[in-house]
Amino acid sequence: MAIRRRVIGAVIALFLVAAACGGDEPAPTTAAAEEMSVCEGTTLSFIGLDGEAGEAELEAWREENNVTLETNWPGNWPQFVTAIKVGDVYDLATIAYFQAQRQIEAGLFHPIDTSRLSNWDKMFAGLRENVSLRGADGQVYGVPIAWGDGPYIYHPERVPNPPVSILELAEPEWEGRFTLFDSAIWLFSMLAVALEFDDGVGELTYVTDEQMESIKEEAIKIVRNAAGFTNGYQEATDVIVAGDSDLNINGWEAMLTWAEEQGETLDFDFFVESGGGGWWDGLAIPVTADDIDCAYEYIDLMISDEINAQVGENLVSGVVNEVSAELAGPGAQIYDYDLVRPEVPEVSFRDQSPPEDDAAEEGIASYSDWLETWEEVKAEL
Amino acid sequence: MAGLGTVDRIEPPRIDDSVSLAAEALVRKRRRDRIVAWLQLLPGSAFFFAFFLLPLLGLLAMSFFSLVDFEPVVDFTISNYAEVLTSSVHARLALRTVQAATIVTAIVLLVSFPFAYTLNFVFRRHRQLLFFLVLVSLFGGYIVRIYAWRSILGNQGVINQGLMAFGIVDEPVRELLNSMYAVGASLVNFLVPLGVLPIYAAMQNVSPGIAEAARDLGASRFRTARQIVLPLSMRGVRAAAAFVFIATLGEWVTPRLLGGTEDLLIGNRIEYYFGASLDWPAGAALAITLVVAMGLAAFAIMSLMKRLAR
Repeated sequence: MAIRRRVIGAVIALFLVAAACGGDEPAPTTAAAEEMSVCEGTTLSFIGLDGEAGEAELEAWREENNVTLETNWPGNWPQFVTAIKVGDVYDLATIAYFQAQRQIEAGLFHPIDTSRLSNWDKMFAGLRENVSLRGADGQVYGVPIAWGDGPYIYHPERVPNPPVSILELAEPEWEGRFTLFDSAIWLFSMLAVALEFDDGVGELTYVTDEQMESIKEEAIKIVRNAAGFTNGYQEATDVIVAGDSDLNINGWEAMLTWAEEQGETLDFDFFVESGGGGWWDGLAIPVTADDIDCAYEYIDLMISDEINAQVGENLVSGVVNEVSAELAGPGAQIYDYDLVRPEVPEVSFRDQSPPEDDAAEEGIASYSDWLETWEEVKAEL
Repeated sequence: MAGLGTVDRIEPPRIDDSVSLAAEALVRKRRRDRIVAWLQLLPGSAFFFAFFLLPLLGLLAMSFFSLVDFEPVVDFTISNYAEVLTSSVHARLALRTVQAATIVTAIVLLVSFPFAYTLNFVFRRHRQLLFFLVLVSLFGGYIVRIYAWRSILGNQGVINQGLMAFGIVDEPVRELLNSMYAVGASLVNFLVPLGVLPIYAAMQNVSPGIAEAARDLGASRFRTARQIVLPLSMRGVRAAAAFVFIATLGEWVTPRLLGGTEDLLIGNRIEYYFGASLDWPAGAALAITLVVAMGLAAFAIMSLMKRLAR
C-alpha cells in the first residue's frame, strides 16, 4: 500500500513539476524548483517518522536537483532524542505535537525563522499560531506538515450507540470491550473537560493538583474497564478487526482504510462532551544540522500548495496549507478544517498537553505530574 | 690426575636430577594447560565483559547521574535511588511482579520435572527425539509466539470458538486474553524448555539403576521421583527455578502484548523511565536495583531449595 502511494505520489509530483516548468505563469510553490536550489547536489539527512520526509512527494524535485534524501527512524522517541543529543548529524527531523514541548525543552532543535518560509503565511492560523509549536522563549521550533483531529475508532456493528462522553467507558457495559494507548495525554485531557475542570477551548490543558486527584480516580475506573493497551494505530486496528475490542480511544482516520483492506468496516466519532483536540506532525531543524539553508528550502516545499496536498492525501491527514485544502484528494478532505481556523474557537484545534515542568505555575499539574499520575493509575488497578 | 690420554667421564644422571626434570616437565605442562584453559575462556569472557559487564557498569554509573534538560549529566546524586526505593508505584509493581514470577516458576517446575523424569527414566529409548522436541519449541520466535497466543486466546481464537461450538458458552470469554492468565500461559510456554534442560542435565548423573532399585523395592514411580531422583537432581531444579524466576522478573514485553491494563510489571516501569519520561538515570537506578534484587532472589531460591532437599 505504502509503495503504491509513493509511486502515485511520485507520478503526481513529476507531473506537477513538469507542468509548472512548462507553464507561462509557474505556480508560486514551484518557483523554488525553477530557481537554483540551495540544495543542489547535497545529501539531506532526515530522522523521524516514515512517510513524513516527502519521500514520495518531493522525489521528482530531488531528482531534478540531484538531492539525496537519507531517512532514519531509530525505533522510538527516546532513541530519537539520544541520536540528536549525542551529536549525530541530521538536517531535518520529525517533531510531533505530543513530544514537541519536551523535545524543544531538551534543546534538540534550532528556532525557525518563519520569514524564510514563503508558504508560512498560507498555513491555517489555528496551526500557525498554536502554542505547541513554540518554546518557552516564544520562538517557533516546528513547522506542521499534517494534522488530525483525534477521534475514537469503533466497530459500528458491535457499537450501535457510540459514546459521547469519555465517562461512559467507566460503565459496566463497557467492561473489557475497548482498548487505549498507554498514554495519559488524551485521556486526562478529556477527563478534565468531562469533569468540567477545563472548558476544552484554548491552549493546553490546565488542571490543579487537586483536580488531578479526581481525574486519577476516574481514570482508574476507565482503565480498569479496558481490555488492554494497544501499541500503535496499526495494532489498535488489528485488535478491533480480530474482535478483541470494539473501540480504541485513540484513533486516526487512516485506521478505517487499514480495516477496509482486511475486509472490516470501522467508523470514527468523537467524545463530543469531553472536548476535542488534535495532533500535528511537523518538521524541525536539529541543532546538529549540517545544511540549514537546504533544510529551510525543503520545509518550505513540504508546506507548499501542491506538495502539501499530496502529503495530506498520502498520510490520510489534514493539510496545513489553506490552498492545499482545496487541491487535496479525499483522504485529506474528511477533516473538518474549521478545527484549524481560530475564528471558530469553540471547535478550534488545540494541543491537549499539560504545561511543561518549568512553565507550570504553582499548584498546576505539569507534564511530569501527568506522567507520574498515569503511572500511579496503572499501579493502583 | 687429568692428563694426556685420559677421557672425562660422563656422569650418569642421578635420580634426583631425573625427578627434578620430570617435575619441571610437569610444571611446564601444567602451565601450558593453564594458558590453554585461559585462552579457551577468553572468547566467552571477552564477550561477557564487552556486552554484559561494561554496559552494566555504564548503567551503574548512569544511575548516579543527574538529569538536566532530559540529558544525563555527570553530577553525582543518590536521588534516583531514593526515588526508586520510596515510590509506592514501584512497591506495588514489584509485589505484582514477584507474585507473577513465583507462580510462573512453580508451574514451570511442576511441568518440567515430570517431563525430564519421564525423558530420562521412562522413555529412555526415545529420549533423543523427545529432547529434540523440547529444543524445537525454542525455535519459534519470542514475539511470534506471543502473537500466536493472541490468536489462541482471542475472542475469535481457537479456545473461544471451540467453547462456543460445543455450546459451553454463548459468547466469547473475554477474560482469556488481556489478562494475567494470558501472560502466565505465554511465559510458561516460553520458559518450560529453560526448566527442562537443567533438570534433565542434572538427572543424567542419577543412575537409572538407583531408580530401578527403588521400584524393585516397591516404591511407586511418584515416590521414586520424589524421594530418590528429586534430591539427587536438586542442583538442576535449583538452576531451573533461578532461570525462570529471574527471566520473569525482568519481563515487560509479554505483559504489554498479552496482559490487560492491570497486568503491567516492574519491567514496564523501567521501560517508562527510558521511554515516556526520558529519565534515564532513574531508569538505570531501577534497573540496577532489579539486578541486585534478582541476585538476592537467586541466592534465596538456591538456599531455600538446598534446605528443602536435606
